[in-house]
Amino acid sequence: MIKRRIFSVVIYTILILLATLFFIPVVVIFANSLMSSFEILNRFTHTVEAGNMQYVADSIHFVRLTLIPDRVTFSQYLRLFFDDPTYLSRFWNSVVIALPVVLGQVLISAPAAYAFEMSRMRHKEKLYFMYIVIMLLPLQVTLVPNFIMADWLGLLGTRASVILPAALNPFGVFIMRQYLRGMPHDYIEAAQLDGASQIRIVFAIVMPMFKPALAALVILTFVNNWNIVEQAIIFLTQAQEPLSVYLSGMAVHNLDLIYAASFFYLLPPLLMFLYWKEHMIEGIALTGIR
Amino acid sequence: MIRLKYQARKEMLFALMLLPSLLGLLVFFIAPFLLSAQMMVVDNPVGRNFVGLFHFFATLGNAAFQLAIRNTIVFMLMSVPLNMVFALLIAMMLRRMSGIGKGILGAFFLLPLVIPSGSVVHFWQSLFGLNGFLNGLLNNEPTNWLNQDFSIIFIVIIFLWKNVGFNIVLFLAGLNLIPKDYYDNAATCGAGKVRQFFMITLVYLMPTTFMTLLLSIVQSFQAFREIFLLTGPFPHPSLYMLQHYLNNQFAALDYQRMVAAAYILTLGIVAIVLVMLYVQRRVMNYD
Repeated sequence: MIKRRIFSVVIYTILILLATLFFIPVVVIFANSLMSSFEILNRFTHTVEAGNMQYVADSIHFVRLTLIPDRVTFSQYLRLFFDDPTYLSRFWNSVVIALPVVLGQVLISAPAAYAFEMSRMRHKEKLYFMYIVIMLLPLQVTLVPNFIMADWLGLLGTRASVILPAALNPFGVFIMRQYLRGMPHDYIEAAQLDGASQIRIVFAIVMPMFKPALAALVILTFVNNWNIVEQAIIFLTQAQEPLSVYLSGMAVHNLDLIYAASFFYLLPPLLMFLYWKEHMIEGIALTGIR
Repeated sequence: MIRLKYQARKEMLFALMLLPSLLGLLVFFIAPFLLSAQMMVVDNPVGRNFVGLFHFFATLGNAAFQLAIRNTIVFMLMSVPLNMVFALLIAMMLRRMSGIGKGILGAFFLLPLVIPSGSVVHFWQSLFGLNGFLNGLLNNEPTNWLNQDFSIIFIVIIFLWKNVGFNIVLFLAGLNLIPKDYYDNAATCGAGKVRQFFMITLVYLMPTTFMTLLLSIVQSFQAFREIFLLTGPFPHPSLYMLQHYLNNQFAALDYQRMVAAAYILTLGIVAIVLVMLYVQRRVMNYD
């Protein structure tokens, strides 16, 4: 009995330590976003500026990462939002890419997944095989046909060239169908025997049951497209550049603001996650059962 | 008769629901992919002399392409199994915890998945860079840990940090479905913990394992974004991935080589999926 207890304590300790490690980067980013530009530059660059004798005395050359700022200030955020409109305009660019993609995924993938799972069409598994192959292809490979088609349709330089392929990505169909597989079909079939029409079944029964899977789909799709880099560089103009691309240039030009910029950038998906995490976890969990 | 009509109407509706997705896939992925084959078989876009599969084999023989293939395979052989093993281990540990603790810790593990890679790049650089925190901590010579022969290890660590949570959730769900009696029965029959793990846990986790394998492969391809953001378009040779190669062809707008590489990779992925489906059918026949 005591041996079991000790074993449990050891396991809990390992888990809590590990979980902390997983959480630390976010905490560090948040903590650094509350530092003054001066402090950031001193912590993250080799150059030690005049008037900073304390650091010189400590002869610190390496980056100092701590969880507590020397002095808490919101100056990074204030400068980020009010000195230069670029950051907020790039933020908006990301919003108008990510949200249409999410909406498209929900409207296109959910019905397609339902059809794949419920239909008795003869060659559906062969079609589905195609979805899995496309899902597994690295982004750079699928960018080739995407680029060719966008070029033919004259969509290059417009947001549609990024949004359309992303909204069609088979990952959504895959996740939703896996989820449906884990769900008892009797439920849906019972409704069909009642004479409910397919469309009513979808809205009255399937949609509510889909909620966890939809939460997972929405969050995963949002993060993925909030974070696009390659598509933006290849398809979009400078003015349409999303935050993700702008941010990678900031380390060079605006190092002193990068942590506020980073934290504000990760806030939308983080809040979505905190708000929907139970649904999302349930949604992911059920995809792996069958 | 009426039933048949009902079924046919249902199938019509399913087809209608499938149509937008299928049509979109056809227009933006499949059709241009098939049509692009004609770009591969000519010598250049202007002259358009037929050269057959020259570009296909030239790409296969290209040293940079081979390096990229090798590195990508090495990365996948490390990251995919480790991702699955760590996820299963943590899931098994989490399972021992009671309700609230399990939920909170589970959320912690899943959190990195929703953190956009762009926002943590500078954190990783500050950790592993030349004047990074790690060097300071170890009192080390200034070393850029992301520019070494073994840098792939750090990329794997970052990959695991980001992706292990997803698979933990999958394994937790899979573990919860195994009836407890199985273990009790096995224990009364004298099966030890190790034997129980191999004969019960692993066997009944098979569907989950396939799912995590498939997703881990998808995730391992996505790890390129981290590598690219961390080390730029020309990283240490040990970090030069397939996507670097493709990106460079994109930048040079070299359609011939781009399409050739895309075809080679697609064939590779088709082969992998076929093998996986075959094994899945073979292994999952137990029920």
